[in-house]
Amino acid sequence: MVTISNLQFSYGSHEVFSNLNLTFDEGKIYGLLGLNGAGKSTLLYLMSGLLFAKNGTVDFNGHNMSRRSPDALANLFIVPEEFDLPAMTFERYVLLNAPFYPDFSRATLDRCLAGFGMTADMNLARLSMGQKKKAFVCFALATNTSLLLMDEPTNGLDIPSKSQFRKVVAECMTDNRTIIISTHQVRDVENLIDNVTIMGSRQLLFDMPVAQICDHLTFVDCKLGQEPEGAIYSQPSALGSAVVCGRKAGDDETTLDIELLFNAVLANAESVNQAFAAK
Amino acid sequence: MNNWFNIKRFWLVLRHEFAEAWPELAIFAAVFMVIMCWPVVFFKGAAGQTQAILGVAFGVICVGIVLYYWILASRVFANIQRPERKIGYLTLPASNAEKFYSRLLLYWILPLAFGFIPYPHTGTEITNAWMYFFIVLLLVVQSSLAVLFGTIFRKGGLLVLILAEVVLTVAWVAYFTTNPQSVKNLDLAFVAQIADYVGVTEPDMGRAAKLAFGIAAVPTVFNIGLARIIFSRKRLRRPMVYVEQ
Repeated sequence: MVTISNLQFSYGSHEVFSNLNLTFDEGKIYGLLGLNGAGKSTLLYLMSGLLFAKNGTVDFNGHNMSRRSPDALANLFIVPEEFDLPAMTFERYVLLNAPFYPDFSRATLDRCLAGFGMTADMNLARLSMGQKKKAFVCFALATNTSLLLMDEPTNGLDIPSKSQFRKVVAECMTDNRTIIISTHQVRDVENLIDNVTIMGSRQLLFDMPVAQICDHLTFVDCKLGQEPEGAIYSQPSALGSAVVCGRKAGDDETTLDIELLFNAVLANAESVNQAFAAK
Repeated sequence: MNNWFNIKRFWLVLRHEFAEAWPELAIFAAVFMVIMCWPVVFFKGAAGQTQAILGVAFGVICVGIVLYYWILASRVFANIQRPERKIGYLTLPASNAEKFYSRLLLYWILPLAFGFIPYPHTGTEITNAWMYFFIVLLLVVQSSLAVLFGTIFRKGGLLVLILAEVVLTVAWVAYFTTNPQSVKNLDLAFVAQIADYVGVTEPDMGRAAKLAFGIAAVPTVFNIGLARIIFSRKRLRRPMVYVEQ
């Protein structure tokens, strides 16, 4: 689907990526995580042809994205963190934009809008930022593009909408679609994503399917000072310590705690990655 | 070929752009009508006015029109001045050529065509082909420069263009003022050739138009071509959420 090869990119003298290699497969929802300035948004913009790499390529189904060819763009949609919608009705917006996307589905749009309790006759100029975001996400999902990039999609959404967001994204997911969600709000996407990708400074720190993470790691709470032997990472929690351990034979599978995993990877990516090599 | 230019997609882009730009274009069209029509209000019964007053009126119209086209043409890519809009526009599934020419059509070609509809009430001032010839030259070339500056400098395009024009004019005047001999040494043979070709006492409008087209074509094609190349390389300057570490 998307293959990033030897990507090098910098803003002036500040290098963001040096020799980044990464693949995004179809049929998966990726959670793209990282600290501020790690390059998450930059990576999304490079993938959509909004930035050009100094070296290396971003290949999307055989298209070099720096060329921004209509064929490639018709199969890609990006929901930026901040965006501006024209002052018109949503119905008119759909009328003007939907013809660019050959797989656009009006039924999907109506279903998503209904999920958020919205209708297509709303005037975009009168919506709050959160409402605009919901409308835009609905349109993005209805385009049925094979690659959907979302940058902080849950920012500005109220609590019920965050839950609805997960629902509509899950409903619109298909086997030939790839969704990449860049976010700091890890709890908002915890039960949604299939793959965790963590960016560090200038490089990829961690990239693993959720199933494999749960197969190799356990996330447990224990009393302070009673951390299990061989813990990879621990941090204070309400119960004492939240610990990431390598999963041994006979250990029960635990629920993925993305926040804990993220902190563990940032603290010591090498140890976390070794747990996958060891088993 | 389909990825370079497709007429159906071009129409979709044009419709898309017009839907967002029409309030601004309508305001510009209204301003243009005011520029063209104010002498009619102020100089009713122009036959009774002196040549000097009509000359001033004509001068004001000329300056107004040039400024008008500068402002309009330099706003050709005003839609991508803000990153919030730029992302949606650059990722719209159409080729760079379709996006570029749709904006060019709305902000440069159509307004120029609209401006060259013969306005009967100003016909008394534009009495000869020479005048028409120079207006065409000036507007097409100057506004193509505004397109180029608008593409390169976006918001600051108009300001940079005005500054460039002022600096060039001042430099030109300063040069000929400090070197009066150079004026005398100017080879004006080409002016005589143009006068022979078009005619002086009874100018040939057709020939004047052809000549204007020929002379204006080279810098215009250069300006628009360069703007097109620069547009195709447009990208985000840096993500809005980027934090320097």
